[in-house]
Amino acid sequence: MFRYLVRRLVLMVPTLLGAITLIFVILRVLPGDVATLMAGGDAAGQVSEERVAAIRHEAGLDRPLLVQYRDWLSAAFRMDFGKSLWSGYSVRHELGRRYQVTAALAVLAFLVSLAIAIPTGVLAALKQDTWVDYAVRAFAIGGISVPSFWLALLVLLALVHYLGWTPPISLSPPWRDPWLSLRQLGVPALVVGYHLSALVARMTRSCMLEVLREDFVRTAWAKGLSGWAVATRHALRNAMLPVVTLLGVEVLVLLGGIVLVETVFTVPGIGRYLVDSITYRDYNAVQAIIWVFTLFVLVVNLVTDLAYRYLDPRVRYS
Amino acid sequence: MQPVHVLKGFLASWLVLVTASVVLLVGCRATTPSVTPTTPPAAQPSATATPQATPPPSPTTVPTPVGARGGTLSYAIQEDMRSFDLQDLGTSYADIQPVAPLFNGLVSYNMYDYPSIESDLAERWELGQGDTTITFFLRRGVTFHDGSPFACRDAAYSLQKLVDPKRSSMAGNFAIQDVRCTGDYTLEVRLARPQAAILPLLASSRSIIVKEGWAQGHDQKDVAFAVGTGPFRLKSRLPGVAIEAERNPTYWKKGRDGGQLPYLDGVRTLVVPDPTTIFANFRTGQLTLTGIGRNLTKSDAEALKAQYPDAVVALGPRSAWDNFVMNVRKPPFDNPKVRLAVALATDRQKMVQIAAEGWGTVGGYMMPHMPFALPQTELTQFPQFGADMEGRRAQARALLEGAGYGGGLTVEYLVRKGEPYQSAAVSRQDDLKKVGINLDLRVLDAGTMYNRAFSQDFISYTLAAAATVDDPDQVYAFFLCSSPPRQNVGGYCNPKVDELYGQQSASFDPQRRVQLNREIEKLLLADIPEDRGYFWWSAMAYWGRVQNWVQVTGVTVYSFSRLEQVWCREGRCQ
Repeated sequence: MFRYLVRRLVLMVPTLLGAITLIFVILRVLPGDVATLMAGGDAAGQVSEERVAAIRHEAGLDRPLLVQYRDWLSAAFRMDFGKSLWSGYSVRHELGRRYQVTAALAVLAFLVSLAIAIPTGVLAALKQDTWVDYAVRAFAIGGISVPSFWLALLVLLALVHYLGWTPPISLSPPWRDPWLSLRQLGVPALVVGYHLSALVARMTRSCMLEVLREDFVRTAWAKGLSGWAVATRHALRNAMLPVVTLLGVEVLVLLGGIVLVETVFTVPGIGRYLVDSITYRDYNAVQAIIWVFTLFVLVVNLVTDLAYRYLDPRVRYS
Repeated sequence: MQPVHVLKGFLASWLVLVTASVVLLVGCRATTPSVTPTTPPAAQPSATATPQATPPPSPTTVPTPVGARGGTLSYAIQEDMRSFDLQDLGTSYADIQPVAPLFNGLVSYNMYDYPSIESDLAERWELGQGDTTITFFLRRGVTFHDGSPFACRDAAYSLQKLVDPKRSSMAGNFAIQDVRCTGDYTLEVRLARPQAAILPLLASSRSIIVKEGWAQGHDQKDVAFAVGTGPFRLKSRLPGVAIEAERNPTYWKKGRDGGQLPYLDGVRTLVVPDPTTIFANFRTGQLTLTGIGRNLTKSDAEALKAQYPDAVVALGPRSAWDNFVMNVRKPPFDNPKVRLAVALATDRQKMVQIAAEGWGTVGGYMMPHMPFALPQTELTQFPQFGADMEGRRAQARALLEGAGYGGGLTVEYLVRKGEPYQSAAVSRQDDLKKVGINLDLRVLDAGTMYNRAFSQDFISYTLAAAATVDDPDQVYAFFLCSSPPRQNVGGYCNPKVDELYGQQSASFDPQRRVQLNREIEKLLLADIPEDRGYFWWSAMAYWGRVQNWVQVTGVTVYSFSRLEQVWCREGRCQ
C-alpha cells in the first residue's frame, strides 16, 4: 500500500509537467497576446505599435519562449504564479480568493448530486420497469442530455419570471456570511448537481440491479431482513464500487460544469476566472488555473483509487 | 416616428450647438461657463429619444432640482477593466465607465446639453495668438482624494503625458506642441496648428488630470493610481467582479440646489459578461441600470414595456458602426470596382433589421447624428444607397464582370465572435452571395481578430469600430495616408482626403468645417475604402427612481459616466 502510494505520487509529477507544458504551448500557439488585447477595445487603433511593444516588454512576453517556460516552471513549483497580466493582481491571491467560492459551489453541487443520484438510482432498481423507474430514467437522461449552461440560463429566466429573484451578485465565502453564500450558490449548485447526478443515478440503478440478483442478497431476503436493510446494508454497499469510480471521473464533469455555470450566474469563482483569463490571453492566470485543476484531478483520482480498499477489502494494491 | 426624421431635427440643433461652442471658444476672451447643470428632459422610452432638438434652456428659467442624497447606483459592464490610466490604456468603455467618476478634466461635456462644453478644473479659458494658444485659468481650492491640493503643475504634467506617444494612446489626436504654467493656476497650451477639435478632445473622459509625477511612481493597474479629484473615490476593486466607488466628501463642485455634489453615496460597477444575466439582474432590481448607454436589446425593451412600467428605456445614436474593412493593398479589393460592387450589393436596411432588430441608422462614413454627415438627400445620390436593390445587384454583377470576376470569387472574411458582429456578417454574406461574392466567414475571438487586423493579415474583416469623441478628427483618421497602419488598417490612401482633413481640422468656422467634412465623405463614398453597414444605437434601461439621468447620445458610453448630478428618489437606488 505504501509503495503504491509513493509510486502514484511520483507519477503525478510527469503528468503535471505534461499538462502545464501542453497549456504553455497551446497559449503561445494561439494568435494574439495579452498586449494586443490590452491595446484593443473600442479605440484600438489609437494605441501605437511602440506602446504595444512596451506592454509586451513589461509582461515579459518579448523574452525567448524557453526562458519564459523555464521561469514559469520554476515559479509554479514554488506556487508563485506571478501577477495577472490583465489585472495586475497576484494570481495566487486571486486563486486564493476565488477558490473559496468554487470549493463551496463544488461541495454543494456534489452533495446535491449525491442526494439526487443515490436514492433515485436505488429506487429505480427496486421498482424496476414501473412508472417510478421510467420517471427516474427520463430524469437522468434529461440531466445527461441538457447542457448545463443552457439549463442554467433557463433556470435563471424562470427565477426572474416566476419569483422575481436572481442570486445576489457578490463575493462571499460561506464562513463569512453563510446565508448570503447559500443564496448565491444554492441555485448554481442545483444546476451543476442535477447534471452531475444523471450519470451516477443511472450507474447506481444498473449496479443495484446486478447486485440484487446475487445469491447473498437472496440469502438476506431469506433471513427475513427488512427491505431497507437489504437495500442499504447489503446491496448498496456492494453496488457502490463502480459508482465511486464514476464519482472520481465525475469530478472532471463537475469542473467543466462549474466553469460554465459560474459564468451564467456571475459566480466569481475559479471557473469564471479561467474563462475570463482565456479571453484576455492572461497567460499567467490560465497556466496557474490549469496547474491547480490538474493537481486537483490527480489527487481526486488517487483518493478514488484508495477508496476502493475501504469499500471492497478484497482489493489489493501492487 | 422614423429615426431619420428625428435625426434631421437633431442635426439642426447640433449645428446650432456646435456653432455656439466654437464661437464660445474663439470669441470668449473671458468665458465663464456654467458649472451647475441644466435640467435635462427625462430620457424617453422610444426611438425618438435621440438628443433634443431644442436649444439649451437658460439657467435662469430652469427650475432648481433638489436631489435626494444617498443610495448606491449599480450597473454592469461586460468585460473587466484593464487600467486606471484612461489616457493610456483606457481604450474600452469598460475602462472608462468605472474610472471616469474618479477624475476630472480641464473641461467636460455638459451631459445635459450635449455637445456644449463646460468648465471643469479650468474655470475659464482664452484663445489667443492666431488660434494656436489657449490659456486655461484653473480652479483654486480643489484637492485630490489623498488631500493634496490641485495646482497648475498637475494639469501641465497630465497634458504633457497626454500628448506623449509613449505614455498615452490619445497622443496622436492632439496638435498640442507645448504646455507650461505661467502661474500656480494658469496653464498655457500652445498648439502646433489651430485645432478646432481641441476642446472636445480635452472634454473626453480619457483626458483626465492626474497628480504631478503620478504615473512614474504608480502602476496604472494598481488601485493606488486611482487618486483623482473626481466626485467619487475608489473604495474597492475585485478583479473580474466589481469596482466600487464612494462619495468624495470634499468634492469641489456644488449642485444647483447649492448642496455638495455628488448626490449618490456610491457607484458599483459589476462585471457581468452574459447579456441575459445582466437583463435578469436588472429585472430583479439588483442593477439600477442595465449599463451606461448599453446592454439592452429591442426585445428586452419590449418585455420591460409590457411588464415593468417603472422601467425607463433610453435610446440614442452611438458613435459606433458595423464595418466591412477591405484590404485595399491586396486583390480583389485593390480594385475599386469590386469595392463598389460590395457596397452596391449590401442591403443595409435588412442588416439593421437582422443585426439590431431595427435599432440602427443607415449612413455613409460620418455618424448620421453629426452635422458633418451628408444629408440623406445627398447620400441617396450615391448608387450604393439607391432604393432599387435588384438594380443595384445587376450593377454589382456588371462591375464584377468588368473587373474579371464574372465567374464569381471567394473571399476570406474574418468576423469577431459575438453580437451584433455575427448577425451583421451573416446578412452581408447572404447579400454578397447574390452577386457572386462568396464570403468565407471565419468567426474569431477578439485576440485573434486584433492580431490579424493590426498585422494586415486579412482580406476583409468586421470588428468593433467607434469614435470616443464625436469629432471628424477622430472619425476620418481611419482613412488618412499619414495615419499609422494600426489606425488606417485597410491601407486606403487618397492625398485629397488628407488635404481636406488638414483644412477641416484647423478650421474654427463651423459652416466651413461642415462643408469640408462633407467633401471628405463624398470622396470616401466614391472610393469606398470600407463599407459601413449601419450605425449603432445606444440603448439602456434604468429604473424610474433614478433622476437627472444623462442624455443618451453618440458618446454617452464613453463620456457620460461621471454621475455627479444623478440621484435616486428617497436616496434609494435599489
